[in-house]
Amino acid sequence: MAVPAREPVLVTGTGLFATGLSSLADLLAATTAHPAAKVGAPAETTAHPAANVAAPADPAAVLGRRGTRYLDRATRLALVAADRAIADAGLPRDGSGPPRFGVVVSSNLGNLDTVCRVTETIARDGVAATSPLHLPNASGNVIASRLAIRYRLRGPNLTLSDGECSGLDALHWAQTLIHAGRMPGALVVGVEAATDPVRRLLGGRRLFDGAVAVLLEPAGAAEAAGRRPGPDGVPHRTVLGRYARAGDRAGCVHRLPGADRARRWLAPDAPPGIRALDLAAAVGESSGALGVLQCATAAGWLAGQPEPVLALAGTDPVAGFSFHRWIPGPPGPVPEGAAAG
Amino acid sequence: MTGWAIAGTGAAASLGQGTDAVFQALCAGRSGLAPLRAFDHTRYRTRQAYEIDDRPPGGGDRPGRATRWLLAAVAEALAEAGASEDLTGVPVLVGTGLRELRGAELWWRDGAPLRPAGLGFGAALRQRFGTTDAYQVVNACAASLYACGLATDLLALAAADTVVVAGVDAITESMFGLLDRVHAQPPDRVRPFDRDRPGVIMGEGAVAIVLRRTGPGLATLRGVGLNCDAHHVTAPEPESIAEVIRDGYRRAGIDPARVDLVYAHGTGTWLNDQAEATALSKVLAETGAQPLVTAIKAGTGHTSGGSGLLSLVCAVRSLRTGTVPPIPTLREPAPEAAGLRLVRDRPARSAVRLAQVNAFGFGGVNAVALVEGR
Repeated sequence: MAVPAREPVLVTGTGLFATGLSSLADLLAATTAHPAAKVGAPAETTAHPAANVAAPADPAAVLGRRGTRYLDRATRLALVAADRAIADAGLPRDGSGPPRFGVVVSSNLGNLDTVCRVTETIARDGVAATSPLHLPNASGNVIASRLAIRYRLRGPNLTLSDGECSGLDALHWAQTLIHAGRMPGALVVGVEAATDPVRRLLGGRRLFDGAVAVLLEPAGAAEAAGRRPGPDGVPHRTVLGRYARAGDRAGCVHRLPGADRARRWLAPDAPPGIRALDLAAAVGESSGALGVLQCATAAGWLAGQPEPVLALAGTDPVAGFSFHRWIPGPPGPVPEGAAAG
Repeated sequence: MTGWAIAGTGAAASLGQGTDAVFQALCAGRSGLAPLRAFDHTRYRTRQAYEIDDRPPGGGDRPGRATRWLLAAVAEALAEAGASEDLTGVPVLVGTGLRELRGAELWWRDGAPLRPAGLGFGAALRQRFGTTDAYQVVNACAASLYACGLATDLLALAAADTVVVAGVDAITESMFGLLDRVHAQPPDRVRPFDRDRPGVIMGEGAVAIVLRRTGPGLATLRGVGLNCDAHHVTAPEPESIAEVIRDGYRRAGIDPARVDLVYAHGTGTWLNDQAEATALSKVLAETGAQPLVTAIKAGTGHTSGGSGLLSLVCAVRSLRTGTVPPIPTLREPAPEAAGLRLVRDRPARSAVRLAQVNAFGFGGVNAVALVEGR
């Protein structure tokens, strides 16, 4: 089988739904306002878990209650963010969109609440006291499957739980599956819900409670489809660059050609001369959602300024991804560092 | 024609440690089914499972069992492949439905210690094998075969020369309990494709293979089809299953009429076996192939995330030995399976050359692999 051409993969839509952040513009403003914390600096909020002073994002207000009652919080957050991203990409939201698109979800803690509550119920009252409607939620891929069902997306359906690297991993695998000819595009979602078990496990840190979604498509596809960005959305001028994993940050940067040209890093710190912005300081610990938040943030920046952005996540291992400005136009050489593989 | 060398395999299940032990036990018609060991059986109606017997003596439970089996399976596969245990720069893709969520249950209910990193296998794989490229594919019962598909894409795109693919799951009380809850009667046995099949019983297991772009191997992985039903969160969809089988054939570049062996998913549930038998029969009628069809879950239980890859390593053994394990609990095939050459009563002896391996998971995630003998 011939290896398909490595067509550049663009971010064609973004969507966000999270506590304390009403839009992507909020995310960009929060990130820009929080320069990276020094190593060892205290967290910006108090130790009390309710320090997210904004009222928790309410998916029911958007989705309605009917048909969503037995969905866990992570699934509900993901459905709202996905809906916004699909609209932003100019794709239909009624399930009549591209049927061969795939879904990639990154979440580490999405169904922790179901697992803990069901175990507790069984211990106290036995299995008869559990509800069979919780069975789908006990499976870690329930978010991805419900997204596929809602939008009738029958391409590859993938859920990743790789710690802090997971979100950038999700972008990498979506790009890989597109380049392997398995799907003509992907809905990629990062989500973590700050449920009680999650808060207890992660201690008093400030937590991101929400979902972020991006649509990824090969460069020719969105143009050919004649779609334009949504009125509140980010124009699709972002192309995925290179991805790498390594044992530490220096090793990761070393494996990303052209990364040294990036003057903006989404990371807790950076070498002198490079502007570092830390999403954890801005919006809280986001675990599986981090990499997709980084992608959405980068896409927002690149709409205004063409300088490449480098995102780094995790400590050991570290994942890295570069994001570049994409200029639509006649086919030409792909910008250095913007080709995958 | 596409193809990657399966250079080594590793496996563990309730009925044996090591690929050969598992395969031989299946050919002998044995089963790992036993009374529940660590769970309080007074909480459940189903009181047996296919557990790996490694709990502390005197009862109780401990976290990290899945991690230990995973490391052992990977080590076995590397040894058979003649490969170093230093996996620096080598991607390791682990298909799992439940990761180390058993540890989360013990934490929440009993106060056992838990760190967030302890929910996955990345840190343990890093420590033992040095890999910084471990991925957890959390794709329910299709997870390890989905991981195979991703691995073939890396190899096809020349993004790696060697990939380790693995699968593992330990039974959690939440999943065991919810499956117990939805059965009208607790199943007494797993009876794939039988007219009177009572349902699924969970099993524990770990499995690993070493895939290389070139070089010697036990068998050749030709290709893996992947898709999603986008239909229902638990019930499968036959037409989508038929489509993923055809996708597997196309990506493998093989002549579908040559498929002479199928390791079915065969959970023994009403819905899966009906959908799978219907879809498989339809595709075989299109291609004209008349393969032997078997399923291993009567012996191993449903090992969740690792189940597809466990079937695959058994398929590799079948291709090498010409022996196909039977479905020992099959008495009367269900009507939709009546046209299939189901292996029953005793192992089949046949010089099989091209095996199809099926895995279908909750959420409609489907994967089908094609493996050719060397």
